Amino acid sequence: MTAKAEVRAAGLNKPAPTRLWLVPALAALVVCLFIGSLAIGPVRLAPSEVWAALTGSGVEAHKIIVREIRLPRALLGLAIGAMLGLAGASMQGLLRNPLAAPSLFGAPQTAAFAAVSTITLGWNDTLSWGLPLAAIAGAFGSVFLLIAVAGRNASLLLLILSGLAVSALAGAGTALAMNLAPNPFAALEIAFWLLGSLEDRSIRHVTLALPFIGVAAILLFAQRGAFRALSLGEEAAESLGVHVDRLRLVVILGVALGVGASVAVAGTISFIGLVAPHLMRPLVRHDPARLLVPSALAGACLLLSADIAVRLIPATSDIKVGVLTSIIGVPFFLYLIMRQRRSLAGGVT
Amino acid sequence: MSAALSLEAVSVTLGGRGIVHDVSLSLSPGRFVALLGPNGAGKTTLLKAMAGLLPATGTIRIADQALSALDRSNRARRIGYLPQGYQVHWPLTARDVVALGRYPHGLADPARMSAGHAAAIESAMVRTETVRFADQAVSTLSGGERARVMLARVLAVEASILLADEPTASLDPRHQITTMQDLKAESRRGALVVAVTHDITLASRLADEIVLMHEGRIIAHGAPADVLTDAHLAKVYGVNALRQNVAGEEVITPWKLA
Repeated sequence: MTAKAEVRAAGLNKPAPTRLWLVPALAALVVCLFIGSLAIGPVRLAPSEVWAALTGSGVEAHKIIVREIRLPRALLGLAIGAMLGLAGASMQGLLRNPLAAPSLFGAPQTAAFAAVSTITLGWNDTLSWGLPLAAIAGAFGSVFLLIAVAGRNASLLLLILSGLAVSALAGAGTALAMNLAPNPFAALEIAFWLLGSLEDRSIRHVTLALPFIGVAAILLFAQRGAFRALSLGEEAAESLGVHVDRLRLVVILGVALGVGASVAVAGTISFIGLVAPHLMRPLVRHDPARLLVPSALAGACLLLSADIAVRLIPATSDIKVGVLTSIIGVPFFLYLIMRQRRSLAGGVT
Repeated sequence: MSAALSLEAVSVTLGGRGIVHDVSLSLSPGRFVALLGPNGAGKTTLLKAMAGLLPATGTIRIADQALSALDRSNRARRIGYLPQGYQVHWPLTARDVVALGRYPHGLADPARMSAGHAAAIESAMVRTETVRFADQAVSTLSGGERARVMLARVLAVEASILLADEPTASLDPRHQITTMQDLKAESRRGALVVAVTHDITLASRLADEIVLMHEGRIIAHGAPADVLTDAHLAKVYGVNALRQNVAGEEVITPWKLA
């Protein structure tokens, strides 16, 4: 074959084929789940009733249920799920490792610890701006600590061990805060962060979290080209014009903002950031840049579904969504470890 | 002709240890330069300093501009750097890896690219004969094939200076020869190509100039025959060479310990 014919045969003269349906299909799924989240609960509504309640033409009781009870919950499910998916994909892009995720590195746990401490110390109540700021600072501290301890080109083993230590430290801190809680009510409030839930949130929670999540999403999404360049390693990326040190800082900041704000209003919800990018990666030909948007959408789908599922599971008391994502996420994590056994075993050096 | 790359009194210190000492060098466009020297001579460090990847004292100039005065993207468009090893962290397709060479030129998404980017990628892949596995994940390629893809990636930058760190390491003889020939071909298109290598035989046959380093300093720079003398090889590598004349070409093979 001549070079020209070969070029044509490989389709090199045309742009690379992509799965154009992927993002619209995920977006449609998100919309369906969002409507489902508004419709499903103790009072079950038809989509038309949901629409009527949203537009203000429905029955008064439906309006209250949809707008004041379920809408904040659905919005938070959407925003936090998307944020966790995006944060996971970004951490994986930065560290070039499919096992990287904020929750494995203790970011949500540390954010929860920071939030809990400010409450125990009586600096904050659950609806003030101080709370997300404390949680963000906590998350930032954890990711920063992790990268400082494990080093820049850390192996998987090093990252996971450091993450384990950071999580354990945050867990101990939270236990201490609970131990020192001034009254049983405060201790109960602390337990709420450990479980992670979207129940009984108001629109105030949404306005508290959304600005931070929005900024975080913009920060992280803007790094997509750099994540792709990083596939070649830090030196090659640097030679292509990527400012690797700044990138690292921006990603830490973005993850901390997004995860911290999420934790501040919903508690620790783990493993979405691990699962969502993993499911999407084969569909984007493993490109860490093209992975970001599908991961965010998949994260939103996962959290919205989990939050619908906890309403449908028959149980004497409510199952918290954070508990459900962990119950599904941890076996998934074990499965990923099994698949990576060889590289993990080799990562000791 | 003005130099494509010139160094004046360049020194590099890493972790408190001097690696490169007071190197001055002037290299012209269109030349294929082999950077030789034993392990630990400071070749890779010098190459990284030339690429602007390590802080160095002294002055490094690209054409007539100080390297330190160039902004990142400008520097990335003018200097292509091929690191040691052929590592790709994700199983990207060969095409997507080569497309990364266009990143300094503003190619954000390989799925939507202009004719100019596509032409550069195509040309790089044709020259390196990597077209036939364009859509294969690089993780499924052999070491030699992956090395070809990485070479295509750096060629796609279309930089006027190409710096390659041991581009033939761990390749089979065929891939060693094709890689060195491709680098030489790139110099014939007008670029300055500098390659760190341990392959004295191939370097002496294909390079226009050889820079010989020893203990962080340049001890010889010139045509292969002038640099690869018995005295230099004995001093730097501690070896004697076998010299043969094959069809009018001098072949130098490291032979015995000196």
